Amino acid sequence: MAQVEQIGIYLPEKTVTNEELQQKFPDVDFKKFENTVGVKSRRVATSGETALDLGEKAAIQALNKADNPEIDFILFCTQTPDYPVPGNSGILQERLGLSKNIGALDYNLGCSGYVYGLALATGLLDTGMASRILLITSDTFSGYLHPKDRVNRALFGDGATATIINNSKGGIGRFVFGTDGSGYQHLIVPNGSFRNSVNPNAKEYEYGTGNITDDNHFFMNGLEVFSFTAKILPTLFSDTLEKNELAKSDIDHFVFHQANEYMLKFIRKKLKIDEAKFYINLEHVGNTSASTIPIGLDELIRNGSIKPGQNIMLAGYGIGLSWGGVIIHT
Amino acid sequence: MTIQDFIKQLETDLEITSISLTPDTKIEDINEWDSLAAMTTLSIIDEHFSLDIDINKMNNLETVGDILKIIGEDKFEETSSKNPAVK
Repeated sequence: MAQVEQIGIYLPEKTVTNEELQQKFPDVDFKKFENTVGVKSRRVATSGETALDLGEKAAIQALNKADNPEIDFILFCTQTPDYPVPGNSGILQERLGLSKNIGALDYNLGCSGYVYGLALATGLLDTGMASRILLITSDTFSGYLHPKDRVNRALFGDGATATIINNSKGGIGRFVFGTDGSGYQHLIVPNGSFRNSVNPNAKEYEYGTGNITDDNHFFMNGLEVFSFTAKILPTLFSDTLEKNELAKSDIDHFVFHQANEYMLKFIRKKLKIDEAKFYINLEHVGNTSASTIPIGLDELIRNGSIKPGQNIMLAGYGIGLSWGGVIIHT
Repeated sequence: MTIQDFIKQLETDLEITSISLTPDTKIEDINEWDSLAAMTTLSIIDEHFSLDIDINKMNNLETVGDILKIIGEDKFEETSSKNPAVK
């Protein structure tokens, strides 16, 4: 039995607007970008500001809101860790001054990371291995983006979230998972680890419409990712409902990974979900990878949309390729 | 959906006003074509056929006719039947 108790959000202070990007990339129609992708500005970590720093600030906010510092397990989801080794979770234990008698681990997932984090937390709580968990999602993905990669510079934003999950009754329902490693190359940073080290002479190449990257930086095959999402989402959606023995009409809010507005609108139409129940907001944060779902939940809690006794469907999908869904009962 | 219906919907959904599309129209001659247009094309294909197509071919389109080939020209109706989804 597990329940989401509190959510904290921390976004870096530096904002990059579409007007600023327009000056850098005069050929791009940012009005059209804004209308289709839905991002007007995004937050970007400054040099020296890391996923651990952002995650720590999100954690402090969640712990302060909960007014209870007791944590016995840290889960830290990041693909932009401070060091190759050790992971961020241990350092966070020390920074937050938490007890040494706790567990802590990092895991490497992107846009599906929040759903998987809730699943790991539920497993630890259900088996009595932990009683109050701190789940961090934090990335400074901007560091992976090529300076001339105009679409991804416009789409992605940096940010961190911290979710406290406790072992109260109810709350987090049953999970559905999916993995397809055959698509690993569709969202990838090819160089910089043990398979391929950073290549100072990496050749720039063009992809999509006028975007430049190289093998030391992030690459996204937009069409493949779009096609993958369109294919897996209907099954993920119906399997998640079925596993939780609920119908579409039982769900009060759908908070899916905020990949981009265009894709979300496509999915909403495809699944025939009521517009009023389907969360879309990338305007000021962009795609923050694993953090988009908790950022959405936090907004819906703060504006009073999420009320006690409701069902919320969460779905994450992306890098891996990896996907997962769950229903939370408030 | 007929080939004509499909081309008409491409023009509408991609907001193409610079040129009138035919199967022979070169992709590079369509000012409005970009990666988002390719995605919109995929969503039209998904709506009327299925997305069980080779996406890589979408990156190497030369003409509008190539899109028809990716879908499979035998999948199109000869004449417009009930309620084609053209606005």
